[in-house]
Amino acid sequence: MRALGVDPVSDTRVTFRALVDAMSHPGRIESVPASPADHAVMATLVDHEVTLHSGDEDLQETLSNAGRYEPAPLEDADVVHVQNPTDGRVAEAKRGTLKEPSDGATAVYRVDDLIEVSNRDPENRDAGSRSDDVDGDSSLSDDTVALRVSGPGVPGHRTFQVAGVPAEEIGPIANINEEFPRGVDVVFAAGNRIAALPRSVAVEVV
Amino acid sequence: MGYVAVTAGEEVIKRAEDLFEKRRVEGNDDPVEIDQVANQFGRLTSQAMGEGGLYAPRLAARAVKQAQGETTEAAFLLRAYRSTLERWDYTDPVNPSDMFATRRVSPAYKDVPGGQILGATKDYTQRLLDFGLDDDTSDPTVDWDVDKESPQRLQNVMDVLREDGLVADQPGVDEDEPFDSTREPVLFPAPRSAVLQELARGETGAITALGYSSLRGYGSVHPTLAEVRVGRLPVRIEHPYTGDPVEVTSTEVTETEAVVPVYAKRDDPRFAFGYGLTFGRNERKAIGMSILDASIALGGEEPAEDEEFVLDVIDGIDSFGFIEHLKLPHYVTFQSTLDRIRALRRRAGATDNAEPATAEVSDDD
Amino acid sequence: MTEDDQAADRSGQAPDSFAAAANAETSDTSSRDSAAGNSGTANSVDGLLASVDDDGLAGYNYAYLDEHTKREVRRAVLKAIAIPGHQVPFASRPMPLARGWGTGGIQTSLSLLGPEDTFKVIDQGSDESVNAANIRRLADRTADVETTTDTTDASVIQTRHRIPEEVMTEDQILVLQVPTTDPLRKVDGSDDANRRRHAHKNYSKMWVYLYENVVEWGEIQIGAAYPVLVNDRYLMSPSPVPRWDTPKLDDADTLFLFAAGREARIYAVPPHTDVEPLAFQDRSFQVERFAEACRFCGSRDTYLTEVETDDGDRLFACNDTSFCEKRQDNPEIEKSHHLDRSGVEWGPPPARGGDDA
Repeated sequence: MRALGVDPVSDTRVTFRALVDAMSHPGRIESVPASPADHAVMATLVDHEVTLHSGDEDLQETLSNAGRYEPAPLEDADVVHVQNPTDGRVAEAKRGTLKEPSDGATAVYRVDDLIEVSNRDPENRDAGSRSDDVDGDSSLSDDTVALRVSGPGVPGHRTFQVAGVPAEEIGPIANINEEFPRGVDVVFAAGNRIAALPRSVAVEVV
Repeated sequence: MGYVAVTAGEEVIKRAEDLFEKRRVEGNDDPVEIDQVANQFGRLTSQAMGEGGLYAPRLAARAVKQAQGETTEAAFLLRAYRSTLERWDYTDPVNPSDMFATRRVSPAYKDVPGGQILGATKDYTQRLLDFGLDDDTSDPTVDWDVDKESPQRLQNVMDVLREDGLVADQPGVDEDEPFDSTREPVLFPAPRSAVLQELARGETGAITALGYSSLRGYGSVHPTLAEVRVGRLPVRIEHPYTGDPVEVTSTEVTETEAVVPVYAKRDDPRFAFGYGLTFGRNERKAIGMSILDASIALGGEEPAEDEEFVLDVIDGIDSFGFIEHLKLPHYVTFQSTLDRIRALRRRAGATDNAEPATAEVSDDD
Repeated sequence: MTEDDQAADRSGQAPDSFAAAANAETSDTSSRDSAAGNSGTANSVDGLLASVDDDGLAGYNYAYLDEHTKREVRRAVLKAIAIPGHQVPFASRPMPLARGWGTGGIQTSLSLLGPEDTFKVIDQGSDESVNAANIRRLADRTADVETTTDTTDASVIQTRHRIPEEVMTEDQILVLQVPTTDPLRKVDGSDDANRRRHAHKNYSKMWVYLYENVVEWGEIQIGAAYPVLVNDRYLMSPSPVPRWDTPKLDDADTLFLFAAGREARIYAVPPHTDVEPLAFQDRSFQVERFAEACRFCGSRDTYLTEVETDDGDRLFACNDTSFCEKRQDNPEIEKSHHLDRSGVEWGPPPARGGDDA
């Protein structure tokens, strides 16, 4: 994985801890030790035991050289790597079965930016912000969405912004996860940071 | 302070280990050599290899010595070791008819092509304790006339039955790649390759008991064995440069095929069958395995026919670990259990002699 | 299919020969020198760590597990967090400790731990019990991680049968060892049948079981491992923790991971998740209560266990030994002493006279 700039032992471990934090606290933005963050996530999660759908040739080559590349079409893949919005095709990704919901896919989106916004926590227990505050800016550019999440891992609700994903992509994601426990778990990766939407949370575009 | 508790740092663990080791060296005898275990306790090492899922006769001998003869402990050592080894390659599948058999009996027929070869066995001998064994190192075969012709290839007796169209297909024969239960968790219903793998690695006693249960009447499988073979199977891999198959070693195995007169289809009655294969020499496990393979394929209400039940209970490392874990401290949960029984006894009006006065657990009376 | 996972991981490239693969193993800067040969006796880590076997094994990977195994565990952990309370199957590896002795917990902890972590291990609430000491040593030597007995200092805590008395925070992860993963095992031995029940949230058999308990005994008879409903969706076993600890799972700040090596399942309760013990409207969930205070620190608000002493006395003592030591130094110290806010809910409310929560 060094070809991707990721140390195969320590960077993958730190990335894994960031993923744990991101999934346990949906909407929080966490740092990973390598950039682009989606490559760090792939190096952490992907080997020949899971199938991958990705158009990223560098990634394919690195994984293939390590004997860790098992390609599959989007609807069959365990890990779906999205570098450009899928036009809602993410709706076709695997959701698992009621008996084995963990067979549902993980979709990893490379996006342009992740911005933490406000957190309304009724008991004020959430940790302080970890990235620059957006100072009251409510006008979002066309390809930036603000997402508000609630559910397991979120006291009250938590809002964050994702730049580089159109709002039309979020609808299908929210719809898939209405079939909870079947669903798709989503990771957004920008620069050296990630945020996650596990299928357990309710998400709305605000 | 009078406070009795199980506490231990490294020192106490080390002492317990030392006491265990002391047993092994207590008699002041010469240490048993690995070669002696390998050569003179072949059945023990076979069992350890079969249950450990690793063919390595000298390592198995070492494990048996270290475990002071306990087979499941030895198998455990081998499995733990195996999981640390890099997996370089997979062997090519081998046809059992490639086996160089040193023993082959076919109970189904009086005579078979290639003959009934008893091989090395004491099956027909009387079980009398031999008090002259201690000093006897003579080789009783030293004066034998050995036929120098190369051994015949032995035709598989099941193939005779198959050619006659008498044997049904087992379901799940069309898998592309065998399932590997060491790399993927087994969920049910399980592919046949997963069932066979788990049986092959299963604990000999468990397989024997469950196989026996079917014979005893708790099941419909009472087979006739078409073949029992012991011999060496070639191990072949694809040469990394030329791509040709090359034989790199061979393993000793015991193989059984069982014919079961249970007919699935009324209009086309065919035998069901069971297959058994283990590392090393372990005939009762191979036969037991074939009974269980057939029982599971046929299905039914009895324990031996319940795929999930059989696979859950036959793994020796799992059962050994969980049974022996009961020795670990459990006083937290036991305190909770005491709390419950005392509450129930109070409710029932019974008294506990040693019981101190306890606070009321509120109920809604 | 051929692959050479460990060597390729370490060098970032495929080996072009087996010899290169073996050599590549030693070139990884993060592989450890303290290597091990054959595993020792089942319960001994010393045997495992004692010597280097030169025949093909250059040494163990960081934190003992190979990266392939860690990935398998890590994938399962992430899916478990995304589906609170659901038992995720994973390919559990043989470990040098026996199945049933915490191998799931070890695989999970070793997949989490790094040099910045501080690791605490308890068994029956105590850091000094034999098995806890063993596990701590394995992590210490193979993951180069700081270890501690202080709950408030640890970033990862592996535990068997207890949740610590001191409030856990969002910077901590609790890894619980689980012997029997499915709470429905009480009503059906078949995991396959039970997974179908979980699929359809069909828990009627459990409710019938509890009802029959009440009819026969007047109350619910379950001691430890009290079944809970997580996120209003999955019935879950909190592992054999006493009922005393069960309320800590509800809307906590910390992540709980549950791991079973023999049964090959991982499940999770994320922070801020609803966790409800099953009960009837007129038969509420009850925790254990104790008539006496701890003989050593005087606590009346901790889980105690009975001890039979050499001179025939029976005394009750705090089960969480590290907190008991703090209370012996300062009997007023709160379970939330290390936080900057008070009134934090963690565990059962104090008993009031004859009343119960």
